Amino acid sequence: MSALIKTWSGPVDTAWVDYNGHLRDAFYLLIFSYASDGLMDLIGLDDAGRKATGHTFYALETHLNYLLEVKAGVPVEVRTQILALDKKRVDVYHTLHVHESDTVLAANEQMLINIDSSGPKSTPFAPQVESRLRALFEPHRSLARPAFAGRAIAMPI
Amino acid sequence: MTHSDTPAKRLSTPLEGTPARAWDPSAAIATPLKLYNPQVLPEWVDYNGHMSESCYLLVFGDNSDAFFRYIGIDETYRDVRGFSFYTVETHIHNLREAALGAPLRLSLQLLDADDKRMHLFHSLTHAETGDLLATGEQMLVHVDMAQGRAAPMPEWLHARVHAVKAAHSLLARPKQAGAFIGIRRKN
Repeated sequence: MSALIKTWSGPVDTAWVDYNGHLRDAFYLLIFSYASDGLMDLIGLDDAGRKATGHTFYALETHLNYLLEVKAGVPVEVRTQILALDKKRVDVYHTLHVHESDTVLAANEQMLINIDSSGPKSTPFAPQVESRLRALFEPHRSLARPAFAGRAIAMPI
Repeated sequence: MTHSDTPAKRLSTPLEGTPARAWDPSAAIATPLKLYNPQVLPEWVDYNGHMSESCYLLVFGDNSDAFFRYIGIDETYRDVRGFSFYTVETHIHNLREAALGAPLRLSLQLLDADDKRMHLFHSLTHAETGDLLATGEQMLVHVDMAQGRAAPMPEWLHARVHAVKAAHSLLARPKQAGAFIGIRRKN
């Protein structure tokens, strides 16, 4: 069984598609943002946790690779791998799939940083958040580095 | 997420249905191009009152749309001739927040192009403070939609794209271009 974390699932919304009925590029990112929210829920940064700690995550940087089209109404899901972690940053890698399919429709790497909302300024993870992140990260250490991680955009040579 | 009783309709884009402008080969090409200046709309902001991440990308897409019209591409090119540009890769840097109603200014730099690709760089700034809010780098591929595969641009389009590329070759390469994501450790 895969160690990847399922962080979001649901149908492709009709409001997210273009004239052709295909998911538009900005809405792939919307789904991946929901997946980052799903990860936050799992590590104690849901609504209540954000209020209690005064912390939230910002995405500093995000990289998307669009591989296949997907139409309105199709049930999709996001699987998440944690690539790296320090005291206040987490590098996550999301892939979008049709429900229960292993084919990758799109990949998205995000660098998330923990923020003290009262600043707002970056700050180390709350201890209970860090320990949950470390527990999720542990089984991911031995996973292969995914295909589209750490990419720079460039013309093919 | 809100679900009303009527089925959701797809959202239209600001320039949909606006015909491409006529190309004037003798006109100077702005470096960079400044084609789109939206304001942060209520539907773009999150519960904190700040523009949400995916809406930065929405705005970059609309800026690409303005660029398509600048070089002569509109719905006719897609629906009648059967060609379009698809985004295959995107890299966004989120630098500062934008609040509801903030006046935005977009610029577009063509970093590179070949016979079927365009490598674009969008900069989003606050129109009053001049602060850089976000950048978006994208690789677009010209696609023959019936064949479902990459195809060379027609000669007239290739000439326009390469005229923009030549004009923009004078610009400095933005520091966010060509970046990869990773936790950099000192030592």
